[in-house]
Amino acid sequence: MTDAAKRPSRPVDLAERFGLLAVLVAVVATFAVTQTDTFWSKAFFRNVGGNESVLAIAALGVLLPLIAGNIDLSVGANVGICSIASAAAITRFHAGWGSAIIVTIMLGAGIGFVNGVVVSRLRTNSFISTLGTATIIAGTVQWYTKGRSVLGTFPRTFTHLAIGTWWGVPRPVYYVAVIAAVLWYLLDHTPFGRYLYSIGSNREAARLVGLRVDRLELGAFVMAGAIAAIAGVLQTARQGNGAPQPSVATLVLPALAAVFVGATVYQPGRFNVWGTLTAVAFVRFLVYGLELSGVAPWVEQVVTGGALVVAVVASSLLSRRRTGG
Amino acid sequence: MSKGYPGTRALDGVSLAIAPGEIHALLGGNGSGKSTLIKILAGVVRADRGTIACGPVRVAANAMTPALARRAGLRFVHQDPGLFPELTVAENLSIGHGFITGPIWRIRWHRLHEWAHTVDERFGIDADPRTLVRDLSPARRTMVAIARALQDQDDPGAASVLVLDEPTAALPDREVQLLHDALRRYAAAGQTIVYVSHRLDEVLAVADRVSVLRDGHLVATEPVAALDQPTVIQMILGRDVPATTTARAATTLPLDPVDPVIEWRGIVGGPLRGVDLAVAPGEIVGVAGLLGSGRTELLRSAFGAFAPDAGRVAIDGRPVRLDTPADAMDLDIAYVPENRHADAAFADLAVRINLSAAQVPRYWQGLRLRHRAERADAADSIAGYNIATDDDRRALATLSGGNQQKVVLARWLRRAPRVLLLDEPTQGVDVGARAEIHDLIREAAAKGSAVVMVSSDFGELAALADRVVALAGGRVSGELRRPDIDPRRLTELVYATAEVAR
Repeated sequence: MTDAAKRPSRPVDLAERFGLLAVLVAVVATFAVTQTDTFWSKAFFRNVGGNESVLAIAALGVLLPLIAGNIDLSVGANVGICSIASAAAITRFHAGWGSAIIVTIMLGAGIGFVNGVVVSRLRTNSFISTLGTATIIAGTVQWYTKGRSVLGTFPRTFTHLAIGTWWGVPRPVYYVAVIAAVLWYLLDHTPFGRYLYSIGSNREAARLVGLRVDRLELGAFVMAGAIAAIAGVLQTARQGNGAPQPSVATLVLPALAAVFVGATVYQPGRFNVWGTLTAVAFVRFLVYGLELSGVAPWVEQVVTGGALVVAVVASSLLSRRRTGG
Repeated sequence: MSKGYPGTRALDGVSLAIAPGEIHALLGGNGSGKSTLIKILAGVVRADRGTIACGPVRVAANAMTPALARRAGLRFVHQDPGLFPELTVAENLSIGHGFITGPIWRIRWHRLHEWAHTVDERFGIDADPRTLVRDLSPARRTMVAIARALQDQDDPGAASVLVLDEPTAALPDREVQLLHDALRRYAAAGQTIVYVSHRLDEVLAVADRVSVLRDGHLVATEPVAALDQPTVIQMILGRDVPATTTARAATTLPLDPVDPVIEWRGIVGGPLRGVDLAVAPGEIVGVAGLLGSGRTELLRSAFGAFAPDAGRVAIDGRPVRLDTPADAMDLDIAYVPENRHADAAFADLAVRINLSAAQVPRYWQGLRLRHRAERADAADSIAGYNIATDDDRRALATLSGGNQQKVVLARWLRRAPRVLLLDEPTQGVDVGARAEIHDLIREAAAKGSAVVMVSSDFGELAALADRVVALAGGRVSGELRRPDIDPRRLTELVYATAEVAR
């Protein structure tokens, strides 16, 4: 390798680090020009910001276990049961909205704890065991709701948590920003984050530098569960009911896609917070833009899946280049 | 049948002739050229000059390829025989050779099993072809691997040479016996066998003739009847023992450390059957032992990474609980594992992160990680430990093996450990980095660390250690002290007791 190639600020590296951001800007600009009436409007951006915050939070949730090398496929089911739980707590058990939120977050964290114990203590493959817990949760939801939404009247303060704006920006966007900032702090500025990255890189080496690998993995799952619960509460508050089935296709895959696509930017080769959010915005704007342009609805799945495959290929090429392997 | 390969750096004008139907053992220490020779035969490495003749086939050694080696009748079975444990014997025999198939590629299982049965009989494998390989004993597995390598020859004597590379390294004694019996039967049926091993007692028991390589030269080829173990050891090591040029000045340590910082008391577990060892601050103690002697378990037992069945580790004379590596690190114990790739390297993470991996909490001040302090320390380490990299944000994997090892060593030396446990710290490291690592180890000892170092390179132990304990048969079989650390004597100690144990 030449000297020039080693400098991190050369154009190729910059393109690598900020490529997705540039593509996102290009996508928005393109649709702003071609679909000016519908796309380039305050109302549209507000809608997207509000609607996609559930996905953004779910994506931030799966980020933590994934950094430590474990996949959490139960995030979609967890969002679903937490949506139902918060709705039922308020409408059926007449809990105050504050305590309903707290109970729901505890439920989500509890599900994360079960995932964490099964994966880190019992040493199972996270892919299959979280798929199992996801199925159990989905079945439980089916039993409780009989497949119907949990309806009822919610306090205005509760629904306004999700549908109001502050300074013209939908409130859920602030929640996403706060969760992202907290995770960024945890991952980049605390030993906890450093340890998760170390475990994801080499589990045995992490153990042999004194890390309590199983506890750390467990912690990542618990936090993932709590974050999924927040997404569930938000979903209930936005829709005004508890929806029984946000499933693998509508939440888990897009969330995972965002995390993987996000790993190609800012800190290429690392799963990271800002990359994940950029990727959520990129994929969703692209899908909406295409839909507004009159493309058939099935395009959404093709775009999401395509972005995932491209991102996985890109990141494996990147890591081969970075590690010289 | 003759083979000559002059010219490579690792091998210089070696000529070997192996007679049909004999078991010919190939011996030599690390770096003697033994493995280069095998690789040339296999066509994996090109020789500079020389020819390989096997039966009617003659090949220039610099034109050897794996396909040619195969055509010439050379067959190889390595230490890890590369079988598929979840498949049956018959399936393992067929893979690479081709399944017996009928129309639309259907495997004709009945005929396949009949055929596998005849192969089993020919090679004396006492197993049903439908048995899963993972259910076989280790010796039988090796026999299956041999059968797989040789099965395309109808006539066992048909000018083929079977090369076995350390076939018994992972086998228990009884299994070794089984395998040897089988090998003798194959040889009696006319099969030519080249047997590469570290275990002298085995070689003397099974081989007809023995060739010894040293420093790329053939020392001698002798019939086994004319040899005994001391003679072979002498041939492997040569008359002049490697000079201990870089040895540090003789220390005046008392015979038994008065104030040991760390003691192992009666450690039993894995291959260990009761080991005692005490090491004082500032001392470098070498541990010599063969693969599987328990040398790694001994180190790991003091790092909370191996739980012995019995025995205690004591620090400053007090027994301590070491359930996890974190417990050991709290007592300022450091451990550099043997397998860097699997157990120490965060290959895709930055050099800086690798350097600080064992002391992250140190940078956790005022509720944030002090990245600037970490970067400054990384710069110090890169300069201080002479690590060749221009940017501490580079992934560790982009560094050379020697530099990676220096990073791992620096990770622990930064903590100024009271006890430094090193498992093969210079394995797979180039000569320059090796000398630097030796200096770092000496420096750590000079600063007061108690260093315990495992190495297969006894010359290295002789050059570096104040005393060396040899492990054999699960016990300390002997101890040598500076200035009487003689690699040849160490070789005797680690081998000889292996025989006593049998």
